Amino acid sequence: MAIKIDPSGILLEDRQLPLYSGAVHYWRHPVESWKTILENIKGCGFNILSVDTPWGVHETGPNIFDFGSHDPSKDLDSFLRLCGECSLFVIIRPGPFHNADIPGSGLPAWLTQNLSLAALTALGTPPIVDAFPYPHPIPSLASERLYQEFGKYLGMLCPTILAPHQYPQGSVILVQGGDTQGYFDRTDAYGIDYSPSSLVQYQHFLTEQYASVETINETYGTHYASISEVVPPKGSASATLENLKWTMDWVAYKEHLLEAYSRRIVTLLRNNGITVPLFQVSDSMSTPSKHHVVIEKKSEFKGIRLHPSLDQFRRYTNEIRFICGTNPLAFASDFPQGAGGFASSLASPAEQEFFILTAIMFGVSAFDFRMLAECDDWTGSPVTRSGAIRTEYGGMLRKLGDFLDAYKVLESRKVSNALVLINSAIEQYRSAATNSDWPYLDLLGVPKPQREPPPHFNFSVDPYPESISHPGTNWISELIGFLESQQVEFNLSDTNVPIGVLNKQKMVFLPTCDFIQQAVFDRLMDFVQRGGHLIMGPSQPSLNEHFQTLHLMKAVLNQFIYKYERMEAPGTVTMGNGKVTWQSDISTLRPLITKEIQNPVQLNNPNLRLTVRDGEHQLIFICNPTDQQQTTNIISTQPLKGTWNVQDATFTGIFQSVLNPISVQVWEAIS
Amino acid sequence: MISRDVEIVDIDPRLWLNISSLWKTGAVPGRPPKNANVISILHEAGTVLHTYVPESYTVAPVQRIEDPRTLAEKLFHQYPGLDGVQILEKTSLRDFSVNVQKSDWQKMSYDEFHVNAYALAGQDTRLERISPSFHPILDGDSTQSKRRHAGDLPECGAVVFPDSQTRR
Repeated sequence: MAIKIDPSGILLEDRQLPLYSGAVHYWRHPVESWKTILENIKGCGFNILSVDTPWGVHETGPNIFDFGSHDPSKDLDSFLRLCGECSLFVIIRPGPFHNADIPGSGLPAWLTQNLSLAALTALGTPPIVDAFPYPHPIPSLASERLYQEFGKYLGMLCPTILAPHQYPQGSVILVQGGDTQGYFDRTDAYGIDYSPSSLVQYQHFLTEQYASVETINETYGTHYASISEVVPPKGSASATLENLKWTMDWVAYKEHLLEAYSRRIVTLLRNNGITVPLFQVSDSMSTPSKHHVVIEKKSEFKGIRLHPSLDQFRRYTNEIRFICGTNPLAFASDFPQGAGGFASSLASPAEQEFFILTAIMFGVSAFDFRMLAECDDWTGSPVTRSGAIRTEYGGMLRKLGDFLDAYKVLESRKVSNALVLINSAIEQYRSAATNSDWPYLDLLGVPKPQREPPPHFNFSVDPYPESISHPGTNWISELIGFLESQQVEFNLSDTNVPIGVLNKQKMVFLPTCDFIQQAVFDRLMDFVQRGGHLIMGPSQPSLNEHFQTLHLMKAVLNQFIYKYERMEAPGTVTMGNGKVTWQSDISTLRPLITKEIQNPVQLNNPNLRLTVRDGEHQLIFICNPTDQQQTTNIISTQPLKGTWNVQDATFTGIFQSVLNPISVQVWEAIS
Repeated sequence: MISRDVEIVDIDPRLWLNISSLWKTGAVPGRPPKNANVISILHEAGTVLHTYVPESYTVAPVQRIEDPRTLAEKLFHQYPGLDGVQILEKTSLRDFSVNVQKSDWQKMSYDEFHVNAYALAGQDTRLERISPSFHPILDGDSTQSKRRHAGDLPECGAVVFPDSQTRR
């Protein structure tokens, strides 16, 4: 394949191209304004466009397709040709699901009105999404008809329109193939999908997991005669371990269904002549999804939709750290530009600059913005609906783009000295134990924690509040606060992380409860054997995913691969070439923080954040996320030269700097 | 920022920001504003299961609900600065979710769907909500009303309200 993806972006033959793109909705603009819009987007520093090709826009009735034959603004072929003439590469996002900024979520109305395709809630009703301009039911990801109908659409879209525009003949260099959008935010365990087609998939999933109904009965404490009789849980059942396993398997099935959906979409795209690399998009790090699944063994990657927020700045930075810890190319998808019909506020150019630079400083190396050109009720984009550059937004992006190019910022990588893992066993537990996350309660403003208290089991540590999504303090939130206070920059991932990624780490932190998947434990012990340091807490796992005794050793042909000795009390033990620390009290971890894992540059103001990106230039990013001006001493053994938002001068040793509210400074370390 | 039926032609985006904050609304009419100061009590047949009190408020514990309406009014007047009080019976939450989705959604627009949802909530005596500040000038009205109001805004630029839903 002529196109490769690497941590710096896209490699086209020998040309390195940062993935720095943004969306334009061609069908929402008159054809006569396309050229001006594209030229001015290019003028704002973009070389790549991302182009949604919504199914509902082009298949206006069953088997009635419009790619420009009726409405000239739907002439995708001409639009792609024009992109090529303007020297713009293109990313195609064919759906089937799109964001709320596309009507009907991108689905044809004639399709969604057909209830035979719909998912079902646990209460037997179709789950209705309050989408613009009309509500619609969520299609079932298990519905065969959905794939048949979407396959027909791709049959019209791909072979004759998209395929001839693929690189190197044309400008299309990437295609999105799958996402987690299919649940339409109904990510709670018992929201969907109880449709007949989903139940068949669920029973297939159980067959793969357990092979026989006898094993299922033994695990669940049930008396089914066959797997086809097994029914899914519709809420967290009474607090027994058998019921817990039943409900956690349902959560695992829902992750499996998303994975199966992505595989189907990828297969459909490949079968319809798409040869360029594919990528997937997740809604967030806490979306139920197998973040580390490889759908096909070609160069592919995954983006996450970031939600920049000053109010929840830590959550925002953690989402970025998760992108970095989970993907070879840290790709922020659907990064906001402007605001649409659902927004109640619009970031100013200075705030947008802050969000982009903080995304970069915490590790993002690739962006796809929405939206670059205003249309309908969308406003605040760099290009207006008439095609003119909106000076304040477009000018900011142009200036920022020049800086990113000059210092090859997106080709560099954030320096991370530790990896914090989100424990998928804890996350699955929390999802299984959350009973009443019913849709539309947000209309009433019912606080989520209020809806129903979680069940209690006889575990030494309650897993529920140890989740990354828990709003209060817990081991992982205290750990993150502690690492930030010690100026140790880290990445986040989850326990499905491949061993190859683990083995690049010096320190791995893991929130724990009494149970953990045996395979995950084996992988972590392998990491320790090879010289890594695993720090876990607040619990020391003793059970596997079946709530049976966890095997603490692994041997092959009478040779120990590892042998873990349980600790009687929190502390540190050596194992192989590495160490395991069990500690419930985060404050006692301070001795672990050595100069080796601290940033080479230090600040004395705890309100500020600092990260380093290494590449052709070593860049020091300092951000002030507060609404107050902040002063700090910068301590550096290397000379630092001001490059962004700071005077163009060089300092060394200890010197003072003042940061405006909501701002980022960038310094270059001069070697 | 208002609705898909409103096409902004040449208004400075920051002006929209201000207009939006004036309206105190997202796209959902009647939705409580984000970070609203609302006391929220969940009960089951009168037994209080959970009380949510906004930060910076200290509220005496409520053990039992006998008369939700009177209690809601009492709390609302007792604690100045509150945006609302809601007293919710547990089974009504599930029923609300089901009933919203059982509505005749095929015939409804986005606005109508939400107006209907709030009407359903208003009809259920088990959902006691006192929230006067959620209904400033336009909250709770349909986009139709907002259109009329936006059209009356003085000298702030041009707004076009297309009748058709073309280019979507």
